[in-house]
Amino acid sequence: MSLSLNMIAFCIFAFAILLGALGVMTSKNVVHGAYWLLEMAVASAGIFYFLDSAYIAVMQLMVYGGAVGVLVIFTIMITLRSRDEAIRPLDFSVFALIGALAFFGLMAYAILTSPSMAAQHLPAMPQLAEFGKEMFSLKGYSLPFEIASLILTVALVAAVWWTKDGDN
Amino acid sequence: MNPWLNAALRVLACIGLMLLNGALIIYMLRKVLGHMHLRLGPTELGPAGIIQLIPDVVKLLVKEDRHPGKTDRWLYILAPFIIFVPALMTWMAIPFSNHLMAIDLNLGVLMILSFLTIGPLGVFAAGWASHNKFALIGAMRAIGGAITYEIPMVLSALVPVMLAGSLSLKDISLAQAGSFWYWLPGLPCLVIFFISSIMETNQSPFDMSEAEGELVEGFNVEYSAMRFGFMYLAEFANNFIMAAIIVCLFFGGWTLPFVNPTTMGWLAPVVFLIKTYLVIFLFMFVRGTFSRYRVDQMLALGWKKMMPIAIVYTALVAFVLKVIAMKTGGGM
Repeated sequence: MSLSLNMIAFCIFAFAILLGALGVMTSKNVVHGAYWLLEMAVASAGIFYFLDSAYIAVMQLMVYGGAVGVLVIFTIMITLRSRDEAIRPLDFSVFALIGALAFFGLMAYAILTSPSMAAQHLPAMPQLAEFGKEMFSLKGYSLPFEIASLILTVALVAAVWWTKDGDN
Repeated sequence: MNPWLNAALRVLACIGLMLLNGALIIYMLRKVLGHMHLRLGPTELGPAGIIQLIPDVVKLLVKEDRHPGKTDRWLYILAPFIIFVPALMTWMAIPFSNHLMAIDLNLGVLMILSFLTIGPLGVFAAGWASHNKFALIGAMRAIGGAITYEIPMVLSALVPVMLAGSLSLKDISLAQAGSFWYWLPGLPCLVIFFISSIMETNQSPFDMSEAEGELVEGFNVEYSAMRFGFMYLAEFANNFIMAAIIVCLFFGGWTLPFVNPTTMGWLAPVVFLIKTYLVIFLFMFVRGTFSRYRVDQMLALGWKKMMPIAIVYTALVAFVLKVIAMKTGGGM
């Protein structure tokens, strides 16, 4: 695939992500916000795909597009008591704006001062099997992976415990 | 070839196949279900009932595009496309033969399953945006159902993936050419995958989100004309996709026993399509035979039966494969 086609696709997806982020922020209706979030997740999957990481793209689509999207909608659906509750006023907070600007400044500084990533682009992306071996071997990331899953399980049990009736 | 032209042709081929498949499934629905339900009209119109197709399609195309006043406007317009586009995207990873596929991705199974997870979100969008009680209940059921069946579906798809050692639908089909097809070692998974496919494609006996008897038509009750047509086209496409995945994972894809799978030529897509439409025929047979489950029965079936069986069987197959690999000395 030629460079120009990749470039155009990248621009489309990048603008889609920005649009999605703006949409999440400015939509008054939480359901609309959820769908903007979904759009952003799908667009980021597109970016990953054009960076030759098809596996991460598919995972992004499956986890953030599918699973998290469904979960967010599920939560909205359970917590809303009526259709009108979905509409919230837009809160404007100076402190949030300062925080966001500070974060943006930090990120911009980090990106501008770090060496260019284009030089480190691999000639060929590693195959999925090698990725899996690296990820789940004892020397690789299997310990952090297990710890993360343990933390999630603890969080799940804790959530069940917290939401239980007080009497029991 | 010019990459733009190449890409455009591939997309057009997928759209064309999707439309043709839609027409074919409408015809099959009229004929197969017509005979099973003793509906005399649609099976008789024209030679072998083929003329019925024309009024069916023309009606969808020329009907008034009604737009109810209280809808959530943008979501209402977008919802059919949120359902339609992922269904279209899944077509590109289907291997019709050794080289006849839109893109040769080595993650085919994962990609198709990940696009299929977007579908229920479109169904929810349609139900929510319609501003209609029945539509909203249908939409909620679609989301609840999606959480239920997707996990056993993905888990049971893992067994053929582990047996073949690849996530590419092409490689999984090829791996079955030399040996037996995977329906035999993966029989419990085939059953679970088949049931999940019926839930995924929203068909009776698990058509909770549209249940005509209780919810009128569910999430798409406020839609008409071509918007409605898009939703049905996507449903028919998903029907084909699920059947095609079942054929690839459990029945050897385009391969035949005792035939070299790489030199089959024009026979390969024909074999693949025949197998796929046989599975679709089976879907319709189930659809015409069983009565609808209650929604809690469907959720109980998913969580309490399919999920544990899928987890246990997948773990068992993984264990056995590991033991075999260690015995034969091939490190995994």
